[in-house]
Amino acid sequence: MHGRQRVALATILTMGLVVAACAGDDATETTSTPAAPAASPVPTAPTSSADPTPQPTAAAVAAGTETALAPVGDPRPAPELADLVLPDGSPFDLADLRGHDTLVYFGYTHCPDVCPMTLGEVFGVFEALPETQALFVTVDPERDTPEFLDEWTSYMPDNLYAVTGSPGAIRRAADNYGVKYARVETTSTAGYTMSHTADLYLIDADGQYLRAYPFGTKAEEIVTDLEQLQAG
Amino acid sequence: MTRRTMRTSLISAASVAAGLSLALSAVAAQEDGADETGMMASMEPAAETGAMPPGLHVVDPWARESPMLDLAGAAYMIIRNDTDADDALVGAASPVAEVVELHLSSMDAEGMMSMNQVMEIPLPAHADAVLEPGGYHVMLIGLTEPLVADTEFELSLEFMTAEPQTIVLPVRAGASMVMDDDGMADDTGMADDMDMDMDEEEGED
Repeated sequence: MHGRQRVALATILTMGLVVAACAGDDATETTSTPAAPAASPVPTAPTSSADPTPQPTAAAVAAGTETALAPVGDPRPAPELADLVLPDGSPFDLADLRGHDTLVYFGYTHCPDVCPMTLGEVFGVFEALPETQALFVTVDPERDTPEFLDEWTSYMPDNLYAVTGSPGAIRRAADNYGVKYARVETTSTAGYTMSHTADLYLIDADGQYLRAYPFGTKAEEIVTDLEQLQAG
Repeated sequence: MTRRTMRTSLISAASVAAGLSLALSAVAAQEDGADETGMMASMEPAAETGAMPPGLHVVDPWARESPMLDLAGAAYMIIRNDTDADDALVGAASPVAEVVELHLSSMDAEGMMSMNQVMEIPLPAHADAVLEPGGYHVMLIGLTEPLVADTEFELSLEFMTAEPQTIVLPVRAGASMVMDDDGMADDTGMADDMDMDMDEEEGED
């Protein structure tokens, strides 16, 4: 336990202290996180991200994220994730995830920085609440084929599920959750990247959509929230 | 918000790194601190005397576990420039990757995360450049071997002005690492020093 604590401290050496330092002067400001999933589908045209103007680093944004989660409104059935497939090629049915809380994330496996950062928080939730599940919906079906996701998930915890699908099916799923993403050509040897919003979406054991956790929300905050909701 | 947040981040990170550096010096001053000084292969050799000459000092480098060769790895560190001159990290190379690039993750106005290759990472005089998840990072592309937690590999860093340095990075599991019970904390006394600094820093803040 002590070892884990030290590891965690080593991590927040670069992140946590920054949060602490920022908490005071940012407390009254709203975070620049994306809106929660729209009640009705909101088509979002992919936009060019080739804007050369300096942007805040994702780390800085994460560091400025506050725990001020909005109250959970009336639960509603989780937005559809239709026509997607599991790594073994079988059709995915969101209803199969009922019975436990599920955190839904839209990302892509060839994402070496931001996605692992968020998935690391998800793994932290898994450790505290092992029955929690996660669903990784790729926004990069070209590279994240079922075969590729099959190998990728073999390195992931068993309660992390990954789905892919046709570009159209993934776009519809993303729109349902208010997720924006766009392919960006790069100069990198690693090829194109996908720009994408990076919130986590909570679907409860009854298949009800409850809320979004903005990018940068820490595992501990999610755990506390899930425990409160479950006790609720 | 974002601009102030970034500045605050830099100040905070700088104070952390300064504390770390003090702790490292203190460790180095102990004659029996052989293991700990081994960890500081990236530091200036003169650190053994307890005094750090001005230069670029790499603090707490690490890379995330990356089991699949098809996926890029990422390496992070703090580069402390305590000289009077601005410098920049302009390139890197490693035996574990065919190509090593410098990248920056950022959030655009619509809340989308983007990652872009950069030609250099600025290392302003008397400041700490923080390479961290969600920010600047070193990307390891075309891995020649999986990056496995609790192992190490070499990374050479090329600077605009300063002499190149080769550092040794530990590989750590996961982004938040809370999963990893027996991770890097057991490698050296480094984590203990961080514990101390955490407490001190929190007290000062």
